[in-house]
Amino acid sequence: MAFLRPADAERVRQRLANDLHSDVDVILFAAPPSGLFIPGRDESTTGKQAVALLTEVAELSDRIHLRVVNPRTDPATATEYGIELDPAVVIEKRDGEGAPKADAGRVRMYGLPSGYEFMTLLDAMSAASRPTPALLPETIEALARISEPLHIQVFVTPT
Amino acid sequence: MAHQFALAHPVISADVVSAAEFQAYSSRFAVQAVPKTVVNGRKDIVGGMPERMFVAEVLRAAGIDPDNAS
Repeated sequence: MAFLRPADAERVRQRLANDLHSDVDVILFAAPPSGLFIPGRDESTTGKQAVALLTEVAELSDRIHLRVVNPRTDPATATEYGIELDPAVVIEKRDGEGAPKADAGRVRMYGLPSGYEFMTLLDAMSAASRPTPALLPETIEALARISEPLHIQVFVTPT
Repeated sequence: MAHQFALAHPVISADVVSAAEFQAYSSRFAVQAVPKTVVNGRKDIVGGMPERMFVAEVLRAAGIDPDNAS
């Protein structure tokens, strides 16, 4: 079943055509459900849906380069990108040469990027494709004062 | 906006976490209302806010006085 209705897919295609300034890598970490319930551990069941949704989105723009990784069979790549949960989406800019950037894993989304988070996904891809950030000059100046690694987690959607 | 901060400065990484999908993980960060922002696993920022306020909060979380540029 398609996630996007034809009219919505067309709107997303147009938005991506307008907003993607350069190529972006989208790495999806998704695994089929293990069927095991472990108390205190999240077992997401949306991995398969995430693969279907991201595949649909990637088909809407030549600038999106989707790679799907199963963190169970390829834990080394998941570790490289700092993946703690799945499904997870990592969004990054490509260099001029077409090679992925070295500082992998800076922009991540955990969970199925549907509903309101679908817009977050489109925004993240758009932001990653820009030559310069869409932030106020004083914000960029202020952020430059940070010298130590800083990890920001934004929790969204009601529990 | 957190994603944009991460794209603007290479020492920053930013995650958007679906709290409904990862309840056990979210409970580790005492997420009771969303949006909630956690910086370096400890400093909490509850609610959404404009860019100027958000960057000031992030700087404070990094131990930097946002009002003192020196």
